[in-house]
Amino acid sequence: MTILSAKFLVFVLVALAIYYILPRRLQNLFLLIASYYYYSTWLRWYPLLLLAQTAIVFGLGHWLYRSVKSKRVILWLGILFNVGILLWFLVGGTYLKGVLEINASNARTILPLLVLPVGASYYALNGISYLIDINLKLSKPTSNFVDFALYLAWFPKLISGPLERARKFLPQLAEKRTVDDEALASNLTLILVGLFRASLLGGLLTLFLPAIPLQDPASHGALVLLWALVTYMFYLYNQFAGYTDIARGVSGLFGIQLSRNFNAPFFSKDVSDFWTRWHISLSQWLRDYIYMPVSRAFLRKNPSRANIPNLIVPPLVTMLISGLWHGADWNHLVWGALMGLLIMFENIRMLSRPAQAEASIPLWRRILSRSWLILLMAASTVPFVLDLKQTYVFFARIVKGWDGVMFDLRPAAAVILSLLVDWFQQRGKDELVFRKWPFWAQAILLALIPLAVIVITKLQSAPPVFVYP
Amino acid sequence: MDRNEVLQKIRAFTLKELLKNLDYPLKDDEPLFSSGLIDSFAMAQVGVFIETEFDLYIPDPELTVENMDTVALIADKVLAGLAER
Repeated sequence: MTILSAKFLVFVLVALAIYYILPRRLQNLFLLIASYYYYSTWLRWYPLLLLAQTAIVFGLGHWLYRSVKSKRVILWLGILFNVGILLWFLVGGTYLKGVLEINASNARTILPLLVLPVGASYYALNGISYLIDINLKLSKPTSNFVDFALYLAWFPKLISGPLERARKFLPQLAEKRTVDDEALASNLTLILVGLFRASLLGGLLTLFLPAIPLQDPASHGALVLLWALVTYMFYLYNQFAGYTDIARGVSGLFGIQLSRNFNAPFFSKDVSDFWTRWHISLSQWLRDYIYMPVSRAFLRKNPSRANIPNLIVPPLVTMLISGLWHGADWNHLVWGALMGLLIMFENIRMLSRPAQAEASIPLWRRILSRSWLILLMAASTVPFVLDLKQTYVFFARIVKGWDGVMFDLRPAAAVILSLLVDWFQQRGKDELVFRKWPFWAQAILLALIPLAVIVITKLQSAPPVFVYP
Repeated sequence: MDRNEVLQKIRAFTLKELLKNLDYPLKDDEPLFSSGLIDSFAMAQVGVFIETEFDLYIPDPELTVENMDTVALIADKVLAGLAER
């Protein structure tokens, strides 16, 4: 049951109706049952894995909290348990699929044990951060198993995040939740913005099929490929950001707030800044639990800013792990290494360049640097989207394929609209800035967006597929 | 250690090690990271500086722009940590 489906809409409406009838003490239990039901619609055995993982991390959390002498051992046990499950599916599963003879008769039995369950990469990271935070004394383990299980399983965030920290999420489950008129309007606006991004902009970009040249780079010129790449990146962005906005809006209707996951990433000043605005919850997780501990370990030996290992190792390690998390194959590792190298170069460049407040930089330089960043990030996305052989072909065509072939400019409308939405949100310093618009403008948007979504969905030959891992 | 002393040490560190400009007219409530004056890469340096100067460990998830964006906010965090000991 994908979030952009009529089934999901019915599921949410029924869940809301039951949720608001139930007394407070049964609401969390009901949301847990609803979340496990939702998960079972993806594959029947998924909830079993989630339940087992939940019980083990819950137990480890209490053991870790009470232990005096074995804290480090228990923490590493918990980390290795969660990472182990991910590695089993990401690496072991991929390897075994090649070794085992899979045919039509045994595929139904074998494949589910080898393919990473949707959402597993998210609840594994949630489990790890829960244990680390207990070890750092940032939070205490909850004694309520239902609440903890709901923290890992909460259906709006289960499949694709955002990644939530237990210390922010669990207190919301412990208190009485109310959704007043203001919160209702804000959450419905979030859902509408999400629909605009995922269905309308994502749909427009699918309709014009800008990504087709990427499937066969050898047959297209450099300009066509570059344009396809830029539009594909905007497609990924709007689909993922829209998905998250809908998830956050739906969660908010139950009175549970989820974190913002995107903040106008194409208005970033550099690559490091980009990663504080794109998939924010994952970037922050990587920063808090990988980048910072590694960087501080190097700085303790030499606190100088020009500490060479500190300039190189933390960004590379962090982005390589990010690559592995996105997919256990060589192209995702190359993508991670590329991102790490870009951040490393930025860190080195910072040594010789005095810091400058953003407001003091001339507008033309800001526009130029952002345009360059979009191209740079698009180019770095190639190994994220294509395998290594096709990546090589792609860049070979970029170097030699300047044969002046005309390309389809229609997706530009969606790209401009996407930047415009970001610009309004960035300028207003508020993702719900549209609620401050005049009443008539809001009314037009409210009428036009669902209508446009319906028209574009009808025009599409196939329903949208959520492509981000 | 009083607040003024903590503020003075953090200000001196920011000017010398992060801004590399001792003449910069830095205000205690001036945003450092969110304004782009200092890149977020420097946050780990702030964490290690607090460890060595105040013998206080601030966990990595607490070293956020929200918590540490100004000299005054950093001082508050340090004073709160020292008070908890």
